[in-house]
Amino acid sequence: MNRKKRFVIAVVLSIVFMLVAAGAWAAPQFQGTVPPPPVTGVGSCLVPVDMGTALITLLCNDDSVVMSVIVEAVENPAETYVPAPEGKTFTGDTFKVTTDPEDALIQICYAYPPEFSDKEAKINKLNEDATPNAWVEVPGAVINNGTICVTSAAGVFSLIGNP
Amino acid sequence: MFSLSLVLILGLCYSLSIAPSLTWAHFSADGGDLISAVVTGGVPHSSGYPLYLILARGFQFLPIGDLAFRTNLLSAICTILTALLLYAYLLRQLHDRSLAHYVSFLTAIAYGFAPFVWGQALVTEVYALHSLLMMLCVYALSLDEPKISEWGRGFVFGIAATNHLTAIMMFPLLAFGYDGKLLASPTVLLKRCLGVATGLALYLSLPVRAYFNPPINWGDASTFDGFFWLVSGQIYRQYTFGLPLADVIQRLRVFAGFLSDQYTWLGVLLGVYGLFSLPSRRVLIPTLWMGSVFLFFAISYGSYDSQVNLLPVWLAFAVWLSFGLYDLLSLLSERCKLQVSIVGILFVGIMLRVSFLFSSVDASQDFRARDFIDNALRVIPQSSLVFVDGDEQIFSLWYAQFALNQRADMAIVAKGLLPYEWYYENLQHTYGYLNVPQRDKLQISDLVSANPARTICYISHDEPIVCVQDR
Repeated sequence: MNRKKRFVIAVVLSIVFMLVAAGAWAAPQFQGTVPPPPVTGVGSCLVPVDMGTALITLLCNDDSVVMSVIVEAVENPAETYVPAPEGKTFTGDTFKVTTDPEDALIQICYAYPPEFSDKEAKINKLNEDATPNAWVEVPGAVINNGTICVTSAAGVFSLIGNP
Repeated sequence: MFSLSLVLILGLCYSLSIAPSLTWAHFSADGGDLISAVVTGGVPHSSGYPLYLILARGFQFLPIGDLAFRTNLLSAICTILTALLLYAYLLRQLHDRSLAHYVSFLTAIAYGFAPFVWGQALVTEVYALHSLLMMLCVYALSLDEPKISEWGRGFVFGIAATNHLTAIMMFPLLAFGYDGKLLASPTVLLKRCLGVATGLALYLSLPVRAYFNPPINWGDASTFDGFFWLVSGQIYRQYTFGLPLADVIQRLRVFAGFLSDQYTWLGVLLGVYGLFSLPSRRVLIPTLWMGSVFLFFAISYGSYDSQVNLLPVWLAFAVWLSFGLYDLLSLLSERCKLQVSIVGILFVGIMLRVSFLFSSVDASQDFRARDFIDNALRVIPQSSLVFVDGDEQIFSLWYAQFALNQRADMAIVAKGLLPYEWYYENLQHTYGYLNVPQRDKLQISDLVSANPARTICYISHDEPIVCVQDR
C-alpha cells in the first residue's frame, strides 16, 4: 500500500474515532476486587429496613430497651436452607431477619401484586426446629393495598406460592 | 544521552506527582491489600501476584517514606524501565540510526506521559510491572539467538504471567516462527513451553505463604482446591464477558476518546498511519496481537476499573506511533534541519501538554485513604467488630492494621468475603479472640449473635461509619 493511501486511511479512521468518541466507561457500581456483599439492611425502632421487595419493621413497645434488626437477603434459599414445599415455589425474595433482643417482634411486608395473589403466594417462615427444616406458612397474614404482611419473631422468611 | 534524558525527565515528573503514601488515586484501591500481603508474607486477591510480592518486598526495605510510598516507587521505576525498554526496542526496529534516536525518544516520552501510564506510575498497583513485562515479552520476540534462547523467550512469558494472569493471553505468540517461517517448529515450541513452565513455577510460592496462615490469605492456597481457586481467578469468573452488549459498545466508543487522551489526535493519526506502515511481521504480529487481546479483555471484563487493562494497548499503540512518525519524517532529507526542528517542536508540545495534564494526574495531594484511616481509627470504639463494604475501605483498614500494626483490637470483616469458607477460617486464625461460628455461608447476623459483647460498626463506601453500642 503506498504512502498516500495509508495516510488517507489513517485520516479517515482518526475522524471516525473523533466522531464516535463519547460517554463514560460503562462500569457496574462497586463490582471490584471484593465481590458485592450479600444485601443487608440494618434498622431500629424508628428506622424500618427497606429491602426493595419487602419492608421489615421492628415492633417496639418499650422505649427503655434499645432494639435493632438486621436483615440479610438470601440467595438461593433452596440450597442455603431447604427447597420450597412440594408443588410450591419461591415466589419472592428470602430474608434472614435477626433482632436484638432475640424475642423482639417484627412485621414483614412483601409487595403483593396481582400475579402473586393469583399464585396464592403466602409468607412462609423456616421452621429450624424441625428435622429436616421446613417452610411453614405464617398465620394471620394481612393483605392490603398491594402488600401482604405478617407479624412474627425473627427468623428466615420467604414468599412461597404456586408455580 | 537520550536514555539518560528519558530517565531524568520521567523521573522528575513522577517524583513530583507520586503519591506520598497509601492512595485511592488511579484505581489503586487494591494497594492496601497488596502492601499488607507483602508485609505479612500473605497472599493477596486472585491470582496471587507472586512476582509482584517478591519485588515489592525488596522495595519495602528502602529507607525512604512509609511502606506504601516504597511500593508506589516500585511502580514508578517499572514505568521508567518500560519507557527505556520501549526506546531500546524501537531503536532496534528503526533502521536509520540518527532519526531512530529522535523518534524512539519522542515515542518513549509520549508513552511515559500518557495519562493512564503516568497515573499507574504513581500508585501501588501491579499494572506498571505488568506493562514492563509485556514490553519485555515483545522485546524477547524481537531478539534472535544467541541473544536469547528459545527457553529464555518462553521463560519471559511465563514469568510475566506470575504478575498478572492476563499475560497468558500473550502465550499464543510463542507459536509463531519470527524467522521467516510462520509457525515455530515443534522443537522450538517445546523449548519455549519448558521456559513458560519454569517461569510459571513461581506460583508455587503461594501455597508456602498460605501454609503459615497469614492475616491476608485469599483462597487459602495451601490446599489444592484453594490454590486452583486463587490462581485461576474463579472469584472473578462472573466478570468475564459479564457486560451487556450495549455496555461493550459504549466502552468501545469511550476507548476512542481514551486514545486521544493518551496521545492527542495527532498521535492517533500517527499511530493508525504507523499500523499500516509497519515493515516487518516481527513487529506487527506481537503488537497487533497484544493491542487486540487486551482491548477485547478490557471492554468485556465486568469490573468498574477494567480500563486499567488497556495499558498494553497504549504500549502497542506507541510502537505504531513511532513507525508512523518515522515514516513521515524520513520523507525529509537527513541533511535538512527540518527533521530536527519538527522533533524539537513535538518535544516542546509534549512537555507543554505535560504541564496541562499534571494537575489531573497528580497523586501527591490525594489524602483520601489517609483521611479515611485516621477517621476510622478515631471513631471506631475499642474491641469492635467492624463490617466493611468497598475495596477502598476494606484494604485501607487492612493496611492500617496488618501493615502498620495499628488497632489490633478491632476485628475487620469484609462483608463480600463472608460467603467463602476460606474467609471464615482466615477470620478464626487472624482474630483468635473472635467467636466465629462454623457455618455454611457465614452471615453478618451469625457473627453479631456470636459476639454479643462487641460494639458493631458498619462501614460502607462513602457513607458515614455507624456503630451500635450498648447491645
